[in-house]
Amino acid sequence: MEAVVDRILPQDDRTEERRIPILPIIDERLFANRIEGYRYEDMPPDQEAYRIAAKAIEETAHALYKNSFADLTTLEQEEILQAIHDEKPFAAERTWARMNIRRFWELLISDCCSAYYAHPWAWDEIGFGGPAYPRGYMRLERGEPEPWEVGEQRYAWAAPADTISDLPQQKPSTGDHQTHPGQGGTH
Amino acid sequence: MSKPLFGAFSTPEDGVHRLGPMQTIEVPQRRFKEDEVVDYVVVGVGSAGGVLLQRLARAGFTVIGLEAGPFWDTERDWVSDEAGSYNLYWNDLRITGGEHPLALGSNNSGKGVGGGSVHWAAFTPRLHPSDFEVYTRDGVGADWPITYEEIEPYYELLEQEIPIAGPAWFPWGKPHGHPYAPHPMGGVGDTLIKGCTKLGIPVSAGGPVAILSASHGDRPHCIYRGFCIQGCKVGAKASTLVTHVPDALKHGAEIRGSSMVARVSMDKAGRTNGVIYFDLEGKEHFQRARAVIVSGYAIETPRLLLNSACPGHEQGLANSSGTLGKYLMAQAGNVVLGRFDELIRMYKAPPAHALTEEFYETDPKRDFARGFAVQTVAPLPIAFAKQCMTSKALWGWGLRRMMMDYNHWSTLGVLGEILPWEDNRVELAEEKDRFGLPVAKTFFGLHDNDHKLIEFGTKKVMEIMSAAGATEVVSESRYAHLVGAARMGADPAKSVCDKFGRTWDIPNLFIMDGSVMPTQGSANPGLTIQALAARTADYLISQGDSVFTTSKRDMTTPPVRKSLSPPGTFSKGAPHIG
Repeated sequence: MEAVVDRILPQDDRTEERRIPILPIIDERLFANRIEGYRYEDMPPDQEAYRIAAKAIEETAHALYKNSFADLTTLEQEEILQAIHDEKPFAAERTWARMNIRRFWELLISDCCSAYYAHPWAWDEIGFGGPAYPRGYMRLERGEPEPWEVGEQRYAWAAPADTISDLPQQKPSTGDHQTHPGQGGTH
Repeated sequence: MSKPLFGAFSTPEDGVHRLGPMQTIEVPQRRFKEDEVVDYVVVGVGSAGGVLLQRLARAGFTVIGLEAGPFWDTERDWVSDEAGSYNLYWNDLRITGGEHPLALGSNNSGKGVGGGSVHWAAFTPRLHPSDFEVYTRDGVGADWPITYEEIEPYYELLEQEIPIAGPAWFPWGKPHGHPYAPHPMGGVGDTLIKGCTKLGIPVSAGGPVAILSASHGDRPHCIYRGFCIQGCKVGAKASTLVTHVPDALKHGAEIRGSSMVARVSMDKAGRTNGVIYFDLEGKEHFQRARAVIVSGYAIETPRLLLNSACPGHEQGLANSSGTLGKYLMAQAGNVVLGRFDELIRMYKAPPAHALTEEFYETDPKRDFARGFAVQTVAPLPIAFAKQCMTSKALWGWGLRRMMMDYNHWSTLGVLGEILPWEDNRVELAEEKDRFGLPVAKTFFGLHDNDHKLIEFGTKKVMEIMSAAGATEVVSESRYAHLVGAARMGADPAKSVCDKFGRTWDIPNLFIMDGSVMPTQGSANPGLTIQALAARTADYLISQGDSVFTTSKRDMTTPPVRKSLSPPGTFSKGAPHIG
């Protein structure tokens, strides 16, 4: 899964010591069985979902390239993942049939986002001010900086030229209100 | 900063239980003996349970609140962190299914004293008068067994007790004002005001929200850091934990945290005589009571009553009508995201701070019944990252690229009325929790009217976002809130309880929480739940001991008792208009 997570939330632009751990966080969550408070009736428990997906992705890599997923090129890895995103996996149909592939995809992305954007290094990257306690904020409008803050500074990075995960994506056609990743109630 | 505003951070001390940086409650609390028969046991100390306990204790009843989650010491237990707020939610397993399944957990279910009011965004609009007669007006949904006029005095009371900040003139439904001043606008509220104004849509700025715009007793004012949904460590956002629970304790109520009620116990005469619950270590207890009020919200209330099935009540308690668990509702909560060239910084200010109810009522020009509100929402980074996935199907570098613009996006939410449907329901699943109790299974699907309303509402909010100047506008589907599944009604054959929450089948068993609502309107349910609870408390106080001894069902509306408000709230900061 390490190689999968590296493509879902790529950190190639970050130096080795500034990479944000993702897989250990997911692993620990699954070990402690910290679930989001529900399970879809067409999904197995999260732990089992990851086992099924790991098996299916590995089977696909072997079917297409006779190689392990981790040893494929970045583009080959991305193409396999893009097909899962599109709900049209290249291979391992019987393994994928054991769960709802779209729900697994959203579980995977959610888990990666929850780990990455929980980290202060990611907050710095996107300009999130953090908890601001106890002093809070005073300048609320027009995104003005607080007296102790600097103005917006963009952190520049470039995705690899040949990546396909930077392309515009088609939303799945399976309709509204099919899947709701837990998102901490926005209203 | 050499000196923090609210004093140094200190480690918890023995004998001190803190609620926010200023408020403390006395420990150890009162503890009723195991074999003591109390007047009322309230199952679940959330929006309704907190208000009920406070009222009943003040009136002199002996009361115990049993809460499945912890009794928070907010200085010790809460953190100002999006990922770290995980424990505020009901994260235990539930199964979700149906054609358009609900997301549960962090989306809508609290656990711990204060319940959902700990993690609500704290929008507190009232229902409209039309909400109480949806069936009569539109031929869909259901009528309530009460009118707006019957709940109105309790809206006024709770708006002062909480207290609510908002504009002096709120034009929708029955026009009213708010006791505390409206909040200043954040970037997201600006977007809503700009867009609405451009399109000629009236809009309310700075509330109504249950967030203090000025200090109130031992609760500080809001500091606009945007961590409402993560449990407000500041104590500015109201939860019953900080508004009503301390007063309940002062008047002799006991609240037992980490006490998971397994079933409501019945005697041979067909009355309840208490509840059986598990403590943190899994040890079983029996708490005797003269009457029981179930306040577990739309999933756990029906689950508990279904799990309490016993001889004579094979289909679950209070279910002779067969409607227990049915007519479960969630509101449409579709979010519209707009990207702006200028900075928005949506993490500043409370997520809830501006709204319009201009589309709330049925409009004969539209091809669906009822309507929707438009409200500010403002996710923190993790929630927004998930919205990048749902709104634009992004992953990999594309997702990281959209996240780089976090401070340039604004988000507005549809809050739309989904009608009560019999097939949207709570049942028991085969899976069991750690106490061996069957967990809940929900089924949810949208019907034609719901689809049309959601499509229209989302399109309207996208227009507002574009009118505000967004260069890119996208949307995602989701739900917000839960109510229903143990509805009140006038007909015992079609409802679970009467208009005071008294179950039709068992004279000393009550239900009082969001699950009793027959319809939900397009208003966030928190204020209505608290108002209904205060009304039921007045009823119970008027009934006195007859609840414990007779099966007589007195349907007389009780007088409104204004003397039961927590100190320093009633008649303070009267609304500008009444």
